[in-house]
Amino acid sequence: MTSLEISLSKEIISDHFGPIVEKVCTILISKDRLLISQIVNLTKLTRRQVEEALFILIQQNIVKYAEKPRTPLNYYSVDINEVLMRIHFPLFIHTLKEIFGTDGEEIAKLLLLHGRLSLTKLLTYVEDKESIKNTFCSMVATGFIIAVRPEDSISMIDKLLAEEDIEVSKLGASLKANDVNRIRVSLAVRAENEYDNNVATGMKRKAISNYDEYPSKNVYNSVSDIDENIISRLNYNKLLVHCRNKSVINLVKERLTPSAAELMKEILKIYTEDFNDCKRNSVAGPFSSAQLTYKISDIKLKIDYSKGGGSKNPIVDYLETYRLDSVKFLTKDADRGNGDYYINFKEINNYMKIDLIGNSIKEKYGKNSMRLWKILLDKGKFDEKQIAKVALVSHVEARKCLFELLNAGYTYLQEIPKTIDRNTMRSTFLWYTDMNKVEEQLISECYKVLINLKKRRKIEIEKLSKLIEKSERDDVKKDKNLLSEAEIFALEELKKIINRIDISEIGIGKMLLILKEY
Amino acid sequence: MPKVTREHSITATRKAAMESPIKKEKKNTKEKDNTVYGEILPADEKQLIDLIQAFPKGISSVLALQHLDGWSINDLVTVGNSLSKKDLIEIRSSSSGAGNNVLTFVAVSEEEVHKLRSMDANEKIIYGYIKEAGSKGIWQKDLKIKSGIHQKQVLASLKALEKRKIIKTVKSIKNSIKRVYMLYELAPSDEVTGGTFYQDNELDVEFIEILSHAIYRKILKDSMPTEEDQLLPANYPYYPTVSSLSNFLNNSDLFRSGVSLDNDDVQGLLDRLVYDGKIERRLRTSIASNSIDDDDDTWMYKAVNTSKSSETTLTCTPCGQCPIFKMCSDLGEVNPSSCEYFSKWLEF
Repeated sequence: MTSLEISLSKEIISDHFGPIVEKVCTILISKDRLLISQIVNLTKLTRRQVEEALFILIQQNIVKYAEKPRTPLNYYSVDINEVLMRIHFPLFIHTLKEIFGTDGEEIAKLLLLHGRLSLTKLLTYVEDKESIKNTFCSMVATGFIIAVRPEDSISMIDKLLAEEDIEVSKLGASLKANDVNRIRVSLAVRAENEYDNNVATGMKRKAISNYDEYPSKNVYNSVSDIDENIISRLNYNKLLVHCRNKSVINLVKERLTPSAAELMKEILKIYTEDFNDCKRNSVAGPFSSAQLTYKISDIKLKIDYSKGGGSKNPIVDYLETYRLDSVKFLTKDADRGNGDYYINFKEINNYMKIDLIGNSIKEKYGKNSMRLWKILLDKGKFDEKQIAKVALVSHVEARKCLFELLNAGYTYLQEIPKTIDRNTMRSTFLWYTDMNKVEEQLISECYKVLINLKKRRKIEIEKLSKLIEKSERDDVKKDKNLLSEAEIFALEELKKIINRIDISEIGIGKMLLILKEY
Repeated sequence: MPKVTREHSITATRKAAMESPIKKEKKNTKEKDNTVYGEILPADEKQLIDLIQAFPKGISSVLALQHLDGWSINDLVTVGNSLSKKDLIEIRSSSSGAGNNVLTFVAVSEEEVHKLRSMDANEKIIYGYIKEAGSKGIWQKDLKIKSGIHQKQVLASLKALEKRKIIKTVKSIKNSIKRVYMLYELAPSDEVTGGTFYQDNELDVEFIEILSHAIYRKILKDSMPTEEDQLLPANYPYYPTVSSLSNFLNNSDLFRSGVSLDNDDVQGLLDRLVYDGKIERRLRTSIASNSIDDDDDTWMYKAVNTSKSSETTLTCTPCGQCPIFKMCSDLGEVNPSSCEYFSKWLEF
């Protein structure tokens, strides 16, 4: 947790929930686990206020608890990833609107507003109950909504510690020094393997409770299978998988043709259907061109054979084009599976990251800097004069660009001393760049810009707070003439400003997705 | 001078030759007289030098002994030494595999001999090192270290040689303060001047831009299918290669006269475009080629459809382009609340 992440979380929570909850949350992030009494001491709020704030945060899945053994007290801790995921809420709502229509949008908004809801409670907020129910059902079936069980409010670490305690007590007296480590490792591996089961069992369990046999897919289409009292929430991971697919399709559309993008859409639909998590599911496939031809029948594939080359089957041509493109949309693995194709999302993500970083360097520091950075990334460590030769720039220019990049944190120097006393006059300095460090650098910059944007938005709203209050009054809402022209103009201006800030925030959110989540 | 009368001695013949100079000047042929480059030589030296001149690339001592009957190795060495003192030949030693030092005798050309005659000892040494450096040239400090001659003398000798137009100075690209000495007639190598893209010691940026643009357009044209929404097949083998592009450029008239690009230059330009993200490389798999000369190329180049603008959202915001981004914080003068760049941006 860097200080930037903490500041950003502070801004997000204050934006969404107000100053009291923000105080509690900040204290919890800075000090990790705390008891209620400790929180009260540190924030100087009343106990009632702290309890209510914690209630809100638990409801929103941000705070998790752990029981202090042999006492009725509880420790509370914040899961910072949940907080940072709130940056992407607008994108999630938009995605669900695209897939499920306006009903989906409404459900998404309600679930995000309340954190977690049961279906019965959700239906009290809407008017058109039937269609909402149906959409809810299909969202559950596709995995976008998952159930919240009581165990979900306990953080992962505590769960592992509890299991470890059980295992240790089983060994009892014969506990040796290495046993604890061994148990920890095996439990972590088991938790990793069971991840998919844990997530997927969200709704299946409910359906199984009504039917004795293993449910087939048709089961979910009927509304009566969903247990209406189980509390559910949006599944962020599944949404991220969907967003990742969308950005891959966009990339294909940019680099190749729209019909190639259509084909890629179909491929992804078939082969990423049961993906639940971006990080864990990063390879789709394998599939061969024959299997694909069998499954896809109606796409118009356009290949220009007039200039020569090509094989007889247009699908094979498309797949090969995907494979040979520098982005390496598909890879062929000769060892596993007879030369079948795989979609390797990590490779595609790597290209997207390099492209993003290259473009931001180009915008800020110029074309030459971008070239030099890419050469360093490609070829490793270079002396200044050599790199100037490869890039066909003058030495003066190369030196200027490289030092600018050094100040910004994109390139680094490696000293190679020739003498024992490391005399700098007699040492060679090599330039290099490291992808991990550069990514982190850009992520920090994005965070900082987000913080600035949110602060600025707050300030702008505060400037006109009296006017906003006035316009929210009931009598003013009914009769717009109570507002003078200047006031109306000022309100319009404010709307424009906030709109612009919102758009930038969403754009930076997309950048963060590429850098962090995919 | 007292006359020495030893009929068959070498010195006698030499003296005799020197006493009748008039005859020698009239006949200036090398074969009949004992003169080499205007100087009179005794017979044995003449014999050796004729032999050496017959082998323009040099003759080893072993081979020389075979050709000269009756000469011992000592004779060879003595005569060789005296010839070398007169700068008529060069003696190089190289060790063969067996560990014996083999001496090679190489004849020195006429102009060289004249040059060397005109130099004194120091200048000769310095000249030797400069010649060794060839077209790369040698720095004054290096000369001083190698020859061991005092700085002032080195300078004086260099000045004298330059005056006589035997050597010249060339400004090096890498270090503009460094002046490098090389032989007058040699053209400076690419390392010193920088190569085709350098003009007057500076990188000709415009030239490079024009060339890259021309290459990019050619590759773009060749990578397009006949219709908008179509793709060229995956193993299409006719994308342009280095050789074909090099031919294309040399046949167009984009250049100043006399300048032509070789494959390495074109490769450099192509790499530059690859790093810009405008083109990408593909391996050539099939043997089909457009013309005979691009059989050797392993790579072909294809244009890439990049997104139209390279603007990221980060750089759309004022913070992305802010020069004082690092100083921005709530506690200081520069903060998001009162940021001027922000105000301007929000007013658009």
